[in-house]
Amino acid sequence: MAQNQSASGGRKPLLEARGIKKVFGTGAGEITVLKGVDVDLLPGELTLLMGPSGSGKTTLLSILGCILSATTGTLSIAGEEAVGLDAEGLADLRRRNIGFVFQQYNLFPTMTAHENVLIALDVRGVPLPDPKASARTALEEVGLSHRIDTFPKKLSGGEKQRVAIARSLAGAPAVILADEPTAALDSENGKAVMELLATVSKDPTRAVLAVTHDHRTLKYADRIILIEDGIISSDERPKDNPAALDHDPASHAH
Amino acid sequence: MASQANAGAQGGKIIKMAPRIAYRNLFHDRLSLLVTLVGIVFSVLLVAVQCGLYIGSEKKIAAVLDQAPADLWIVPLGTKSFDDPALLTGHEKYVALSTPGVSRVEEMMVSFARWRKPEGGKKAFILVGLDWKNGGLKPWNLVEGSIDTLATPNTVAIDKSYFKDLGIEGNGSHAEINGQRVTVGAVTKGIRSFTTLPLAFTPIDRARKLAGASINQATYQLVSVKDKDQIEDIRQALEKRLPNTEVLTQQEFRDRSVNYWLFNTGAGAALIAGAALGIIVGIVIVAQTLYASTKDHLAEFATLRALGASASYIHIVILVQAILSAIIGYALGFTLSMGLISLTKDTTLTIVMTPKLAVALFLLTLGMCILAAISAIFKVTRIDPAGVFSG
Ligand SMILES: Nc1ncnc2c1ncn2[C@@H]1O[C@H](COP(=O)(O)OP(=O)(O)OP(=O)(O)O)[C@@H](O)[C@H]1O
Ligand SMILES: [Mg+2]
Repeated sequence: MAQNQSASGGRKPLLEARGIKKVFGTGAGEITVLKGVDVDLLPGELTLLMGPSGSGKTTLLSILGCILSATTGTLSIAGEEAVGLDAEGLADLRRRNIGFVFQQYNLFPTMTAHENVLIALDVRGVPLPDPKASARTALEEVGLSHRIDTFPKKLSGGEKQRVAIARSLAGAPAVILADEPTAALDSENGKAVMELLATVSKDPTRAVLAVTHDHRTLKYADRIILIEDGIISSDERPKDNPAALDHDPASHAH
Repeated sequence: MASQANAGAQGGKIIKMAPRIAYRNLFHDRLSLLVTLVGIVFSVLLVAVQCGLYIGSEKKIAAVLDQAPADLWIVPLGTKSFDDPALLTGHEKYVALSTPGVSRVEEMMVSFARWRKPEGGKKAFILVGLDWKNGGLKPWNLVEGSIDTLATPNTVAIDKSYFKDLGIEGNGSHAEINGQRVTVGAVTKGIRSFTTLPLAFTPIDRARKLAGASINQATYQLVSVKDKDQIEDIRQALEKRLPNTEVLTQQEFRDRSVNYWLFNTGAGAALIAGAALGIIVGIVIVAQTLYASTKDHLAEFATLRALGASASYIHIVILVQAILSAIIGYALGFTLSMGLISLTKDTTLTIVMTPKLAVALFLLTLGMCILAAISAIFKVTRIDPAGVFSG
């Protein structure tokens, strides 16, 4: 953590998690998936979360995104405490502060790309002078100006994921959480999506955390956290320490 | 966060997407929509027919009553309904006329009689003697003949729809009532009794003769009062002076007649049970399909929840879906009901649609669908956003 503190350069984290533990089940079926995890996400950074299958990445992401409650530990997002909130309180916290990008895109199949973004604007309750124009601009920014009125089933995987990113950005949340955003994509589309996430993360009011298995994504990372068996085993900034890239942390996963 | 606050301060707008999600989901699941609509249409149709039959029955039971508004009816003690004929003793009219506050009294006679068809064969029917010479009710809805022809001796008016029952060809046919020869001198349309007994109208003095009643006897005395505020006092005075009668208001007599036929005989209970069945079937089908549709869209609802949608946002989607189903289902069901009603117009099945019933049916359909939506909402109780990462 000392390394993180120095690397933060005095920037205040947008997300702070301390001592996160997660236990599933009870009695004999009880399993402890997270065994005390601390994470800070800093503004203007793309952080990659890597680790073997079953190591608890999705579980951690869900907890950081206030979708799942930790068994113990504290979490604050953009200065707001998440612990102790009920389901509606957590929904409100997500609404205001968190954008999600999913492996399976999770677009609304009966809605066009444009409408998918409009839904996020509506759900987030963000009043805009012209919401339709804003949604259009958001899609143009992810390179989909020609796909605005297209339904998801007519979009390629990469295009769908770019719609999903545009949607996650609606309402300008402080934290973007992505679970294996490139796993369902070919290398070209995966590259485009990672480049997009890297660009998005450079906004000084935003932090991006992406779970990934994909080595090709490493070069976009400002920081790589490796989780193994429910604890963080390494947390490095490859750009401070280029050697870290040679020692591919994802190799632990396979 | 800052940009959000600024946008709010500028007073921007929000485009509501929940109704659009509901609408798209509804039309996306075509089969489920079809089943929902069949359920609602069936339900609307069944309830419309049962209620329409109920109103139609009421109208038939009170067919004559509703045409003869009186402030008070003097009826023989123990009268169960309008067509439960007995005779008053004969002095009631004069007692009533000499009661302070009474302005007018008209007589009416209702009697069971036997109709002998021209080609042979007999049929029981209800002979109604009306007192129009004294300003009382006269046969209405005449389509052939006239009130004047009914003044000719031994002439009766019958309804067109009873020609077959009474074995006659049409206006001018001859038959026998209680052994006395009569001529059909006028024909009405749409005046039917609730029972299977046909109605025939004739002036009251002739009805007395045909039924063998004495000169002053009648079944009912229809009393008009000078001051409506005094109805209750006059009723008490009449009841005191006429111990073997009952004195009823128009509404009481109507209610008594309707209740007798619809509730003492079970006919009304059957109609109500039919309507209740329609409502139950409707609720069950809509609840099932809406629940199934909600389950099909659970992944989307979980995504909405992950985006931060409140539970009520999702409830609105489900509710709007139900309300849209209700509107479409009602429109179809109502159209079909009206078609059915126009098909049965000239039959003995009297189904009546009134504006009130139309509104009540719509509210019922809406209520039914909202209830179904609430049950779907309760069944999916908590939409867990954790579902979003399970692919
Ligand atoms: N709801 C749950 N109930 C019980 N066990 C769970 C639940 N969710 C996850 N687990 C378990 O927790 C462990 C970590 O799961 P998680 O999905 O976080 O792993 P992951 O690192 O995302 O794996 P992958 O790379 O395969 O996606 C697994 O053993 C999993 O079976
Ligand atoms: Mg996972």
